[in-house]
Amino acid sequence: MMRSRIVILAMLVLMLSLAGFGCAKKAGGPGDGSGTSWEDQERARLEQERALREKMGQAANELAQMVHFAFDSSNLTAESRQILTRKAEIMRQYPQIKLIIEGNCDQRGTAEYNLALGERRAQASAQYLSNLGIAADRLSTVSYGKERPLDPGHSEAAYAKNRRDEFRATY
Amino acid sequence: MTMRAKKRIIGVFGAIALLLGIFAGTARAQQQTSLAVDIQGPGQAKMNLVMARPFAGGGQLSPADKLQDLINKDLQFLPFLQLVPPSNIPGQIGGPTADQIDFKPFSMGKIDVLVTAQWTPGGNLGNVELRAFEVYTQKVLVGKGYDSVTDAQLPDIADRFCMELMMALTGQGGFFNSQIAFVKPSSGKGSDIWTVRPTGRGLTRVTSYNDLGMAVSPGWSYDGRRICFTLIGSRSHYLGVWSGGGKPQVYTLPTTNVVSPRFLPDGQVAVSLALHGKADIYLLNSAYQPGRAIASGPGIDVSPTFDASGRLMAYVSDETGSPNIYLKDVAGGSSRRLTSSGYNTNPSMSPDGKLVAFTKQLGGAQKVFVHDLTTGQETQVTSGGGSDENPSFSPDGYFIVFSSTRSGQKKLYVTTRQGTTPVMIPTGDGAAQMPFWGPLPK
Repeated sequence: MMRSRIVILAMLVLMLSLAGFGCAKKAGGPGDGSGTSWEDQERARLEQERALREKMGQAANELAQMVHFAFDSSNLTAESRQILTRKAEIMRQYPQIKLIIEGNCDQRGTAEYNLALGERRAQASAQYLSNLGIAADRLSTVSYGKERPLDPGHSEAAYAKNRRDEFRATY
Repeated sequence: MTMRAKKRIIGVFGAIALLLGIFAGTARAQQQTSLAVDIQGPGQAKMNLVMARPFAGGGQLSPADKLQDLINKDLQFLPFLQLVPPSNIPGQIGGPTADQIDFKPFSMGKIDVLVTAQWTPGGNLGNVELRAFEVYTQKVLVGKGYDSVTDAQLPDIADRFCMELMMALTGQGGFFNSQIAFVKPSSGKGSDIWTVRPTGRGLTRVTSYNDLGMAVSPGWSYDGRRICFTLIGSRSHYLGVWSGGGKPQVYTLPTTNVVSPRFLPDGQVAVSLALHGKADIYLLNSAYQPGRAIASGPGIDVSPTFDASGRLMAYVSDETGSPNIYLKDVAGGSSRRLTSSGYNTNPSMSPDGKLVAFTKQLGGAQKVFVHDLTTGQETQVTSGGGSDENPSFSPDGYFIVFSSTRSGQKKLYVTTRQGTTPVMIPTGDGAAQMPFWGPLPK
């Protein structure tokens, strides 16, 4: 009885691993219909972005200037608004580029709530740029929550550094 | 009963079964015994256990000691057992079987369980027989025998023996072969999903995004066949679904904010999506696209968790300003706020729907609390240094796994709903976080 059970289980393991190989071929994201894997798509996106930023030179660096937030807040300070106004100018100079806004939180909260909260910070910058006349389809947001701290420390200074939006020019 | 136990000792497990790490097919030691721990109870009961020095007449002292050590480490996960050194009891143990043991001194010394191991010469390291006796009745609670064991099989032998001992004492033994999904950092800025058993064995990498993406927030399906997770890419979050082998499927949703995906018992996925500017919790359809909203208050709604019936949901909402834990029927209706003040996140509902474990921010760090839905009482279950996050109930509702920085780097620890001393789960080099306890293997 034990033997037959082992045989059945071994077959099951084999079937599962075969099913796994079957999946690997079409592991791309349904919804984009491209058939290539998510990893390949992501590599292509990053490569295209790299090339674009190289072409933009100094303007890309200027676009990347971060804005920071007070504790538990997604309000833009006067300094942040100034930085964002400059971004709007650059985006008018380069009408072909788009902007990705990355929201980040400090290390005090917990991961999932911060992933949602980081989105609020990214949205705050996106809304401001939109109010300055940048078309909404040129702005996209992504939250990293507390997963990408600039400073992993636990001081007030480290927390303040981490509460930020980062910006990336994209195609 | 003694006959059944003997039979089990004679029934030797094949090496193949051990190598495959398959626990199925073991006879369950659920015989009636006067010894029983109610792990759903208040948690005061403790049993005293003595592990006798192994009998290794054939000179297998080194594997005998190694197995003894492995069993010892396993038993430390079971807070209802108090390990008493054999030297504390002046009893005579002439051999590994009941007729060779003078139980009286153990009985006098308030020892409840006595464990013996006997090694005899055989293939590989030799043959081993393990027995756990109930001291009071002198009967065998668990008896297991293995022939021609190899060094690599010793951890599985220890786990299986302890699983059956736990089963005999509590009626639940799944702890030792259950699986926990969690997150480990990969190269660069990436992170990947891994699985491990609570003993640290069976450490397996599930995703390999490396520096391309961050796979976070893993959640098991109730049949144990799938793990859903958030994949954070360079311009969006995606929903990842791993189905037991190969690469996970990656689903693009109509929002870049895809947070805290969780399976319901019926196989549906609930996830927080910012479809209308703020994060609400939706049920996904079979194509993993958004269907009905099940929590859409005025603020952020994240981190859904369900009872085993799938009818009750606890989740986080910050509709009053700071995040708090709420409870609601998945079918609809109004929500009930469970936590009263402060920063409360990371809910995990016990499968019986009676308790919600969560974290409360205290002085800049998180601590794990348990909220009793019947009495409304809140109990702190972790304390000490560091921050404790992401509690997740075991399927039997007794253990809680969480991540903690108590010894520096973030690692996984196991405690119980009564808050017994946490035991670290070995997960290899590097940090480990966001644990999610999977279902018991069927």
